[in-house]
Amino acid sequence: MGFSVTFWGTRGSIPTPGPSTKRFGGDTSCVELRAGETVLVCDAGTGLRKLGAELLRRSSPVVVHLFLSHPHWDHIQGFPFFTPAYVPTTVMNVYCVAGGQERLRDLLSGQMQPDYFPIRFSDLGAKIERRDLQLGANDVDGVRVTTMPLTHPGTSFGFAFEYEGAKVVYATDNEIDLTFEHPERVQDDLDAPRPIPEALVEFVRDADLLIADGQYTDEEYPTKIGWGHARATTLVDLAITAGVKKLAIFHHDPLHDDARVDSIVESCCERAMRLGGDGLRIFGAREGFELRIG
Amino acid sequence: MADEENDPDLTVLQTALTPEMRKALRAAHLLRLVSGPGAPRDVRLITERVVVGRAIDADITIVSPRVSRHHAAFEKTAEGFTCRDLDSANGTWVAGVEVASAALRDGDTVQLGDALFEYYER
Repeated sequence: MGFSVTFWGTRGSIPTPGPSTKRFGGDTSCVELRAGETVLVCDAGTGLRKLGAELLRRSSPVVVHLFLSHPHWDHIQGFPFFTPAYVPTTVMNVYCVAGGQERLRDLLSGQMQPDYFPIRFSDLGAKIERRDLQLGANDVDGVRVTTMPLTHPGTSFGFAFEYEGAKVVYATDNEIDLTFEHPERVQDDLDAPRPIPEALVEFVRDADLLIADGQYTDEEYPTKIGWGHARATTLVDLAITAGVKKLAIFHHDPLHDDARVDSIVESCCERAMRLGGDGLRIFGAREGFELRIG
Repeated sequence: MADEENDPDLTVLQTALTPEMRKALRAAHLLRLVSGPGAPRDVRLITERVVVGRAIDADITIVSPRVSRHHAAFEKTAEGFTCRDLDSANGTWVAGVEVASAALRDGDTVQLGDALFEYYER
């Protein structure tokens, strides 16, 4: 069965369906990893809805391991529309990272209070289990899952998944520019290598695939400092420093149409060439793309 | 969207079709082989599944050592077509990315060995 990744939602902040976003997609964050028979899902943005339909088509009962980076809308809004959650034979393991995600399940169910949604969380038919993750390494059904807090208002968590010698890192909603702490230097020599937090480099080290938030362009970032997202070009520095093989630019800005995402990817490729990262493959995460890992 | 005026296969085929079938053919998505063995060639995706490969029983046969016997399949979905790699030796690349499968969008390139296709929605 191997190890694979499928993108079900790649957009950040708010869904943006329509002809101008048709290629990269308009659904918000949701990525499926399959490790043998094990299904692991990163985030429950609106992309989760289509994944639910696909899981029911594939097999029964549905068993999923759900990892939520954080409870902002674009990462949980698909949950009430995840059809398998209404099926009694479904098992959903929802993971909470100790030291930051204890309230996660409450926040997930909170969006299903009657003021927001007609069906209560307690009425869902599926068996929904809260599972705890430690900061650092954990074992989930034979997959090594490592967690790390990221830089985002309210904190987001990144997850590294290792299976049969291959590694995928999901790190979204993460303002990786260290200039975050020195806004006056954000425009300093944009072509120079940028400092990256060492702990993040080690977390990402030797990944076969890094899925990372690259929401902003270099031009946009100076007015968005502190919003908790990265300029895409800085991901190139991270990927090269950490020895990443493939970089998927993720969490596309809702104001960016397909052509703009193309230009962001192109600027990242140019930066990689300048920094000597010829072997690094860079692409825009796109709904409906399934990749084999390793 | 690609033009169909210079498509001899389509012209010949249409003479044997009912008006309804001709209408369906015109509405079908298009796979255009733009470079590689056999190019140029247009193929209408009128069936649920179209297999491309080197084998003689492939729906679209590409005579090339870089193309696997059954290299990739184009499968109809509610939203169009998905291209699925069939464990080929040289991989399937959609829009420059090596994929196990990909939901295709208008104008996508699909590289199978040395055969380069373009996909157009109608």
